[in-house]
Amino acid sequence: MNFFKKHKKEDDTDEELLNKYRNTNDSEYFGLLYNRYMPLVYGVCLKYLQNEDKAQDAVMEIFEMLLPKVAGYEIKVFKTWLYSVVKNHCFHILKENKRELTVDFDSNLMESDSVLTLLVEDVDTEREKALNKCLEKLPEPQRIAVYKFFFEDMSYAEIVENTGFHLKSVKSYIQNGKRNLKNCIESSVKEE
Amino acid sequence: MNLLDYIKGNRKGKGARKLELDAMQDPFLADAMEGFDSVKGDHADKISRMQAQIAARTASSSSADKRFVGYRIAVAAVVLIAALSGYLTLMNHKSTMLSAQENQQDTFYIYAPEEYLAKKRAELTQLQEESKGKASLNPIVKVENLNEIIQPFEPMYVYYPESHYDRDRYDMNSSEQLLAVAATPSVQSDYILPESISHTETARSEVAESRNVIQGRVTDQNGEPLIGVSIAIKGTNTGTLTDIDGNYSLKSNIESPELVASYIGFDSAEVSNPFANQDITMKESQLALNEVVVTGHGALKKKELTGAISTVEAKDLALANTSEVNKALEGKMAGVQAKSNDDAKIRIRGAGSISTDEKPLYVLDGVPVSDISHISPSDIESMEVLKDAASTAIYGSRASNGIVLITTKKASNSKPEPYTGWKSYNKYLNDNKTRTKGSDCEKKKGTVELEFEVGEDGKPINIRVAKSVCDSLDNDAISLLRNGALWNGKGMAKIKVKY
Repeated sequence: MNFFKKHKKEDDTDEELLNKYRNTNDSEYFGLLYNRYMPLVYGVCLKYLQNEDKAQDAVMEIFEMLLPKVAGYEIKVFKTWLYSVVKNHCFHILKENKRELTVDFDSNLMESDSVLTLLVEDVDTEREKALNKCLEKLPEPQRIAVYKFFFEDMSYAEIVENTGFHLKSVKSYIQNGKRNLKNCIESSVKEE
Repeated sequence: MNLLDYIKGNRKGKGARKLELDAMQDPFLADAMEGFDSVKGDHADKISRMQAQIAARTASSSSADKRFVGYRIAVAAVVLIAALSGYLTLMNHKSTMLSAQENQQDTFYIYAPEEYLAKKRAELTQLQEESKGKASLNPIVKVENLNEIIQPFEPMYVYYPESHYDRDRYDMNSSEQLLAVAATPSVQSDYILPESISHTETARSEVAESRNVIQGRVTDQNGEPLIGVSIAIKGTNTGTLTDIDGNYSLKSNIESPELVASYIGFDSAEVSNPFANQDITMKESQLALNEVVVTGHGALKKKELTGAISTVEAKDLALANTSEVNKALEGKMAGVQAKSNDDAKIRIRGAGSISTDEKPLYVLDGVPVSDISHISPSDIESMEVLKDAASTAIYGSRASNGIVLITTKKASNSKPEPYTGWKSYNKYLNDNKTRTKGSDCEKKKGTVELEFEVGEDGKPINIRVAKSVCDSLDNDAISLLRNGALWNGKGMAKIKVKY
């Protein structure tokens, strides 16, 4: 019985946990919720602070900062809200220390690209035809990377093993390939 | 596939690919994965530790207010047991505390029995094992760490058998029993004041009704929604962030609130007297964009460094006309104390330590050296003293007392040239060239080329004839060079004299 109940608590959605925290003021609920996203929070802190110790401090700081305040905020989607809180906190730390931020332009530009759902949604035949045509037009490394990722369901690491490309280049091949494909498909669909 | 497994380097198979696919649509995940890749270390372990910390932190704080109640109940329990056992001893002459506990279904144990904790520990471990397979971001506390979490709470509070939980009133579950054994029992209901709770709740809803709701959308100049813009009501702690479509909504109970929207990279926007539907347009900030500067920290040049730097040029050092660098530095740089004792003593930012070396780090033409007393001030092209903390980032802790960057004249790659400049020097050569009369060479023609080094005092030394015409003419050219103007710079130089 208890076992079952415990399971249920873990399965609560973010918003349910947040509501429970609001209603009961029992910090365990928020701890549970925060722990759920801790790997992401830590990763983002690492990205911006580039230092394990500082990132760990930031993770704990953010928790301590949010614990008393979070109930007062109106939060629709906890995950996106937390993301911006974490980013802002990191920027704040950087600003306070007046340290220059080293920006990895390459990956940053790649990852922030807005082309997201290209092949995930159902494709009508016309688009599929265009897609096949466009795939062939892609530069070879991009085509290989895109094909292996989307059609052969390989992970980045597997593509690296399979092709010998560098991990970073695999990422950018896929991103750039997707963008090129999108542009190509859009223009060819317009033409017809 | 769990993100933690992915971080550990388990990056193959469908699960890993699914995660990577997710990351394309989830900037949070993408950022995090980038972060893990960019810094080396055992991140999964660190995360488990922090999760355990937070679990412990929240568990202890949630029971903090119950602890007080717990103590009271413990005292009450002791009194009750004492009374009971006293009564039983009087009546039956055989009772002990132990038998009282055994016989009474509704007494409670002080401290959770070890078997109970062991059972719970096993249950939690099993849960952990089961949830491992799930493709979600459920927190994972390493099984080895479980004892750390359980341990602090074991001997602390009062343990109540399960029959005492009032399930309808308190949504208890096994984790609460496990982590904070001092859970709320029915006995304790006297200490909770339901009236006061409901009272605050009604009070809260009344306030909520009186508030005005302001909502709207925040966009940039191009009409694109801005996500995560913080909107605050000026002068209060009330605030919110915009959602993924740039929408926000705020409750305000102030007469005429003023909204302040702020976002990194944008000028903060203020709106006084906002309407119920208040859209905000933010302008990109020119200033803020410059805050992110891309630098290479590896370079040593002054121009690439920021922060406090003092420079002394060669001519200032030469003016001092001393034989020691530190004497030449006296009074030349702000914040640098140079003492003219016997040995070279330079202190930057004062004496940093009493126990260790207070010397700054000397970097001579890019090479860190410990001592500069052997360098003549006249050899120094320029000296730069780095006083800020950023310099420590480049040279490490050795630089905690500051850095003196010295560029010597030799290292600058200027070729020697006459003080007077080449034009007037060539004129001098032409005007003053003579021929020793009566020699065989009197009527010979040609160009004599001389190679020489520039000495410390600027005079040509080690003169060598690179191209000879005739012995006496060569000698004439050499004396011409010797009597000519002094030379700037260091190293080899060459002149030509045409006869």
